[in-house]
Amino acid sequence: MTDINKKLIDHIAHLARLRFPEADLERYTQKAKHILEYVERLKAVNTEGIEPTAHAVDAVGFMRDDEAQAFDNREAILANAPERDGDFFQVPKVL
Amino acid sequence: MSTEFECVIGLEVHAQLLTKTKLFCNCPTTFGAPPNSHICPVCTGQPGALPVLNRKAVEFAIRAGLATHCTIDEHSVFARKNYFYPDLPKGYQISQYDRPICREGVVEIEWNDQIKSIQLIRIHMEEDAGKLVHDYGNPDASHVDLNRACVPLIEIVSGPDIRSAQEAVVYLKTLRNILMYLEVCDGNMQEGSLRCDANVSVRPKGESKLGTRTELKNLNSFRSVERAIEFEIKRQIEVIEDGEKVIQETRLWDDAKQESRSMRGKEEAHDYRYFPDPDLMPVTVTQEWIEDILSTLPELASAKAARFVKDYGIPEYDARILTAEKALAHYYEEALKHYNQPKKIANWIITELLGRLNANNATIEDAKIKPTQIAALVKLIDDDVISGKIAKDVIVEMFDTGNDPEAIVKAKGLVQVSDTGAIEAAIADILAKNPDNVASYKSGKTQVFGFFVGQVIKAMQGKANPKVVNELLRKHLD
Repeated sequence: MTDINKKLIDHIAHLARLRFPEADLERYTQKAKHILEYVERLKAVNTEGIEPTAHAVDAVGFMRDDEAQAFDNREAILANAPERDGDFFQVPKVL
Repeated sequence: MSTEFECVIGLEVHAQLLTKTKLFCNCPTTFGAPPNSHICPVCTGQPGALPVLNRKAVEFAIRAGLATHCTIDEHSVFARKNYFYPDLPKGYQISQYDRPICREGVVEIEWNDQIKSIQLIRIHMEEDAGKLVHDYGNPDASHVDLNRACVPLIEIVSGPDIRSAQEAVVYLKTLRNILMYLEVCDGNMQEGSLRCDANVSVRPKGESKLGTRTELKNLNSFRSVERAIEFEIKRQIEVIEDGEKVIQETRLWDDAKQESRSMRGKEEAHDYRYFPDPDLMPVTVTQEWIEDILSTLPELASAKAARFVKDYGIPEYDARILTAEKALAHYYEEALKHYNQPKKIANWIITELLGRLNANNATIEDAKIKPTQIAALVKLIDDDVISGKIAKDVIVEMFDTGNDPEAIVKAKGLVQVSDTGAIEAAIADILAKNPDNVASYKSGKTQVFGFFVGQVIKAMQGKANPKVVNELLRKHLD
């Protein structure tokens, strides 16, 4: 089992861009441990010869035809962004 | 004694699929539209919006897989590749991970006059990211255009089978040609429809273990693929010869500086935490569908070239040139429908038309001369209406104006003169002006005969029928 420690939780929080007080780190580490321990218990089930489940619903994926239809309210989408500049979404400088 | 090294290269090629709409929504994929004009709640990651898979994109991926002899998985799975970057509105890219749609294929390339097989590990489907603009006026901000976000791509991953930068280019050209023949990708590297990353490592010759590899990004032309790989091989050998170790990293090619630089630092975030996308069901393709696609697979370049040699009796070299682009092969066959002289028409297309197109940086699609017109020109020569020499002038005008050869010949009075009276007069004149040459011909220097032919044709502004000139000259001289 993966060793769940504060360093790993800190790394995952960084990857998810989550910030929380240092004091909570211990609590989250414990919680993550419990979750993983629960998942470990599932290993007891014999899955020999069973296809891995990629989706909870047993249905066939639906596909659509390749026909263009423009969305009619792009203004609303641009308005949803924290910042815009003309037709662009504006973000802090990346380079 | 210095060690000899060999390099090991594998390419990851991203090809934009020629669908009308994006991979998971109805937004159009047209290139060059105003910023954020092709966006909707799905491709901008609005909460609650759900993706619905484009059937055509799946068909195109299968087509590419079948043409490269892959096994098509009847059940493939879309996964989320999680990372944060401003061009990725959802915070994850929908891609395929452990269940790609195609695996274990092969692309055959011509290398050192032999056929070499480059193995494909996989072909998977994924969505493209948006475009970042860094020079939109505000120096403290970047700008995001999401028109390209969610545009369908296939990623074609080769095995580590390539052994030089030149071979990598040949592989990439072959793959591009296949995708263009299949009409699943337009192959335009400048516009980014075809992109390439290269995994490069070196090892001492004879060593079977692979060296540490680096990944080269931003290779957007054949030339930069070749230069970047050559640069990297040299750099890695130098690192090893200095007694240091090659670090596994991503390096960005700078085409202006002709060098690559490390993207270390950005690497540590590359912990993508892939998991199956719960918004999408596994992709199920039936055996009937696969067979249906297989039966409609177009003839690829190598098969077409072989057919041209067999059916039209043209040399393999010509056949290869004529099938290098699908549009060119089509052009040639259209011309043949109009006038069935495969060898002559091949010559005129290759030497006169392609040469001019190349000089103008143009492709066959840009040619003003229609296939029927180049066929008509060849027929004019065969029918003795114009000489081959005059035809070379006519094709120049056809190239510039797109006018019919018959019209040009008529308007300029270029019809070949076969009238013996006019030619005899010109011959008499030339012989009278060149008594020395006549004497040397009579003394046995028969090679001056060509001089007389040339002079007569020139005197008649190229319009004299060379066959008649030859006959009459012999009559006068012998």
